[in-house]
Amino acid sequence: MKQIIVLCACLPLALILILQIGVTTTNNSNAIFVQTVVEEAAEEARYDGCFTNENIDSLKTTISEKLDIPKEEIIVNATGESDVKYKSSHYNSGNSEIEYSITVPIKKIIAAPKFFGISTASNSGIMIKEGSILSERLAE
Amino acid sequence: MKNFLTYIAIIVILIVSFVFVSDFGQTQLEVGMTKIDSNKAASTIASFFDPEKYSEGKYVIKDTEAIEIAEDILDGYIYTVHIWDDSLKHRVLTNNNVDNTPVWTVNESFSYPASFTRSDGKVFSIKKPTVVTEIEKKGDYYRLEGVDADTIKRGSMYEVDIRK
Repeated sequence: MKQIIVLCACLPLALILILQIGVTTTNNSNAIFVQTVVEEAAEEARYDGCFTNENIDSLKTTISEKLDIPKEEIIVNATGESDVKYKSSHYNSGNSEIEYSITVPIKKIIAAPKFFGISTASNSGIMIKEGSILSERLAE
Repeated sequence: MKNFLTYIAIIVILIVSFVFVSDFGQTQLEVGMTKIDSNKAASTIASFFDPEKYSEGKYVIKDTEAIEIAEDILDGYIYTVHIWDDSLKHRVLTNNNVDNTPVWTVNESFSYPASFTRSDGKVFSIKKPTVVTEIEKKGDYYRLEGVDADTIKRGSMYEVDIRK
């Protein structure tokens, strides 16, 4: 009987920890994936002088398919086609910086939220990848 | 009691594993960021050239811009930037000194193809204007005792392919 009580106390904790390792690994690999994809999109934007609509759509599609998140939930705030930046002859001279901020939702942070009394809404979050890159596009 | 201790041991092992996995993921993100900054610095330095020299058919990277870019993009890193260009002077910019200020440490003549040995011993041949960045960042990346990986090192090479 004593052994069963000890098992009942320890087994759930052990199982939750195993599940949590899986969730943390998934979240980390997703973050690395988003980081890589965003950098690839930023490199493309560098040559276009801005984040083109096509580039943004491709970025959203790639993240959406890999992370299984609806495209509408991925928020991209970036220098767009209405504000094309051109290469300048001096660094930090002002008008050649393309800025971007990509927000991607994280669906699950804790493996067994109900066990700890955490609601689904509280168990989600966002990851934000932001930065800037200098335009390489030459003025026509 | 024996069973209880066994279960506690299993839980401790799982907690240690969880902490390691969590730190490993964060460190991989930091490694990724370091590589991105290294690439960004190399490509940005390479893209600022002297237009007067360019009109003479020479691709010469601006030293003043290189310092400004390194201080801006590589802020927080210990960096070494190597520049080879058509001035035929190999220059090395580094902040690997006591007060972490960027200084030019090498200014020597070379001719294409030049040979470059990276800090890990790998040898590269420089055949065109090139910028190489080698950067490192120190930090407490792992909370577990005994995991001594406290330095991230990354490097990039950016060649300017303008000759057709």
